[in-house]
Amino acid sequence: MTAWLRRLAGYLRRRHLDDDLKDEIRLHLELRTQALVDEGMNRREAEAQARRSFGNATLLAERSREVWRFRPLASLAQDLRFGARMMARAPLHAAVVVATIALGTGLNGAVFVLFNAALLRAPDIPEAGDVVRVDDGEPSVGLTYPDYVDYRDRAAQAIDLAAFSSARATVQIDRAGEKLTEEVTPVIASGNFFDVVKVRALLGRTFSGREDLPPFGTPVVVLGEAYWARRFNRDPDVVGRTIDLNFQPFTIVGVIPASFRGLDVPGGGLPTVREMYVPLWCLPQLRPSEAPLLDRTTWWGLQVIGRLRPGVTLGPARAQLGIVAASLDREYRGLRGARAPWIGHITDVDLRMLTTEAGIVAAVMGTATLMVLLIACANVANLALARTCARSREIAVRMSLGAARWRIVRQFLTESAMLSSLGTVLGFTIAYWVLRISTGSLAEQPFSFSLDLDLRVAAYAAMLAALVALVTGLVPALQASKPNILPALKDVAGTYRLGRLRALFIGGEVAICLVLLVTTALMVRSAQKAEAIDPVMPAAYLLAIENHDAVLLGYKDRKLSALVAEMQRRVGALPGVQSTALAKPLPFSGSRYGTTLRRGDAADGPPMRVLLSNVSASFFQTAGLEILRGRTFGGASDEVVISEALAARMFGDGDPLGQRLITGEYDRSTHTVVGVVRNAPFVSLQLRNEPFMFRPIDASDGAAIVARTAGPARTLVRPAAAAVRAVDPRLSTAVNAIDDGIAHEVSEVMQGAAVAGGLGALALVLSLFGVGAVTAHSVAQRTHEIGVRIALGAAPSDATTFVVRQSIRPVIGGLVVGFVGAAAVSRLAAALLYGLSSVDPVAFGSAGCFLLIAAAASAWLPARRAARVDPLIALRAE
Amino acid sequence: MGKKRTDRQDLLPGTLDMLILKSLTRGVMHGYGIAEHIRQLSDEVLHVEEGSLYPALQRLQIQGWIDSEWGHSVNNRRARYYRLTKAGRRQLGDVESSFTRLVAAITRVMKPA
Repeated sequence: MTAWLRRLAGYLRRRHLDDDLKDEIRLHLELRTQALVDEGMNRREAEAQARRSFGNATLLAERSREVWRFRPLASLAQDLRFGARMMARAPLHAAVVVATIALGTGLNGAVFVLFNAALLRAPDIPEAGDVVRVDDGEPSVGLTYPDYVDYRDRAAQAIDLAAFSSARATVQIDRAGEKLTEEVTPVIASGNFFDVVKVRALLGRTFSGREDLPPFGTPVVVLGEAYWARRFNRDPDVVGRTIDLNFQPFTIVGVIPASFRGLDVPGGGLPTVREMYVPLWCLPQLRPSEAPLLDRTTWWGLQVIGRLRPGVTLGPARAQLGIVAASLDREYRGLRGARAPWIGHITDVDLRMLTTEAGIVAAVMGTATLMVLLIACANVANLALARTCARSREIAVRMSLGAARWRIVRQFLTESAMLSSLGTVLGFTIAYWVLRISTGSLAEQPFSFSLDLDLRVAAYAAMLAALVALVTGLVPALQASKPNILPALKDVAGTYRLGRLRALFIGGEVAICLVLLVTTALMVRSAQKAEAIDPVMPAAYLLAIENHDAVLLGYKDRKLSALVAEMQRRVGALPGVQSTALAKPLPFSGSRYGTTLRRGDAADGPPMRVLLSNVSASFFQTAGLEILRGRTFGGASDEVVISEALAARMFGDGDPLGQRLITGEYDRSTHTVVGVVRNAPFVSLQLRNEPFMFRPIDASDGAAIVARTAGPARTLVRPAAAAVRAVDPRLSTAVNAIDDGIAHEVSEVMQGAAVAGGLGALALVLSLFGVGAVTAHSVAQRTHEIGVRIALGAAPSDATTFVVRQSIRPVIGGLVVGFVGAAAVSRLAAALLYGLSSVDPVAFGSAGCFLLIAAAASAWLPARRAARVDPLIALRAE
Repeated sequence: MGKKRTDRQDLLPGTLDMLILKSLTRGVMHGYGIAEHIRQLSDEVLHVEEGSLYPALQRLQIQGWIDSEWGHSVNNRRARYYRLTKAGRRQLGDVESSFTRLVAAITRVMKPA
């Protein structure tokens, strides 16, 4: 350290040091000369001898000076100055390179900033260091309410646990006599939620107490500041007003500040700020989910957070949860698998998130944008190689004057680092502002994260810049500093055969581009197929009526089935309703029921997993599912109807009717197949061809009603809700048209296709630019050769063809590699996308042909110049 | 003269610093004095390229092992005098003992008992 200070002090007075050194050396020489003269040597000889024994004074003085100098710094400054001069000499080259890099890094930056904000950044709440997230080992699956209560009460000494979830709801607000209706997604939180996160109300109060369950008071709601501003104009008298949520009145009791952005773990899309908060005890009014809150085995909807008690650290808290889990496993043996409680600080990155849907989306997006960046890098490297040719003389001169190879490589790397830093800073700046503006204005609902830049983003940017500098600088640097300088000195044009390297880059670009294009094509095809779906179910004419708080209102068993029957009767009596049926779960509600299945004559065989739904006999006719063989349920409780896919898998070509099937593992039951129906997108479009089984419904534990309407189902939403509520005004009901669910799924695929398409188009433009640039350069390089060919009688068009053929060869190589990569990608995509075989010939063929033709065209444009080569001029240039 | 030259030895790498430090234990010296000291004490066997002394002196100063100040030489010329610092004395102790061990080890190998 002090050595550095001394060095710095020396550096500051280096001129002074120089003079001192000269004095010292002069004195030394004089004293030595004097000594030799004293020994009897004559003065001239003595002076010469003194200098000889001293050595090279200039060199030694230089070395003494260098001791004081920051050598690396000095030569870095030199490199930077030289690099800046080179950039200034070729401003167009620099601009193209910086723009290309900015494009690539900007895309990656945008994805990373979003990813960082949504998944990595810690929530902004008071004393967040004490707040933990708790789950049962699976971050995307929540806890059931009874499990949460058990953890909360039994681990109370270590942690104060709170729970929350969210659900869609329709809100209706009276505004100046006019009713505003919109969809919102309130957070449903336990009574102690705001105490645990330590968020105080801006206005009014938050929830009181910790009672989460009925008996009900009046349902209450707490608004978020953003929603309060948007819909209530920051009206200070909002507390006490009433709004309707899912057709139930809720009293507004308070407003919480916008600084609290929520704690949602992103499920699929980007988390948005929630409009409002509803206490958990109002869940039945708000969201009649398909299973009651109190059931320990069905509703896994709760995310659990907690605040560590003062003095408690993660270790003891984890141990406590482990003990609770073990005792729960004992008490509720057989209800579910063993619990594996997980606890982690909310401020830490939960690495398990990377395997959830959001993580996978981020990974896919990240990979795709990284591919675009690689293409951009390949282009820049190719440009650099071209410039290397132009600079080969300069480099050869430097090397022949004794510059070390490493020094030349460093010079090149410094230049590419300068360009990549400029490009990265530009790219990130643009990305940041684009994100800022688009998330600010496009989304009506603000995202629940802040886009502020942090150290992680800076580190990522630095990493990208370094990567780009290496990728774009190293190959040209090594190539340029190859120690065969003679030919370059002699200026033999075209001796540098960089062709193979450049072909490699072009091939790589094309391969990556093809993968992106095929992905785009696959997604578009999938969306097309999803939209043009065979109307197996007339989804637009199906209405779903859900209700589940009946259990909490005291309905059960026969009373419940009577209630359901009455509701079904009233809905069926509505004008415009053609038929009704019962189902559990509902089509396109997002919930999947499943069981294991074995053939009756192979009770010990391996089981098969099937999706299932419980439906009434009239369901098939109501939902428009054609019964291909057999009949619907006749009344016996052991009858089942199976889908074509299940029949084919279970029985092959054999007759499934009358066959026996065994369901379940522990409590097995035997069923008889009475009918086979067409495959239908019952759960989702994707799962359309999954084996599916229908069982007769037992309405004594509740059911949803499906109604077939004569006109569009949407028009009957309100009358149906009113009809159901007339049976018991306390009931809350969710009424939806089924094709909303399908439209949602299609739109997700379309959005994905649009993003992939954008990236694919960028990749395409970059690759074509690369092909064109390389062709143009090779024409320039081969002017002489082309001149000879023409002089020897080749037609000008032959010259063009020749150049184009040369440029297309690496493109074809790239296409071959790209097809292999695309096949791997599409195999993955087939699992995620609807209606695709693993290799979709149309997608592959169209992407490949398109790319080849486009590449040929972009090679042809610069290649035309080859035809105009005048052999005389070309030969004279030699 | 020619015969003498063949007896001369180039320094082992890294030993110049040690020799300078050792010389300075005798007191304050200027560059020429140090060179003379090494030459005479080694019976003119050790051949120090005299100029290479100066980069070494700069290096040692940066390490903080020696200090320098300007004074006047015997013939009344401006001269820079070097002095061993405390850190330099410590450093000399360290390199001396490791050097002794090294020489002893080499000797044992070369002349087995």
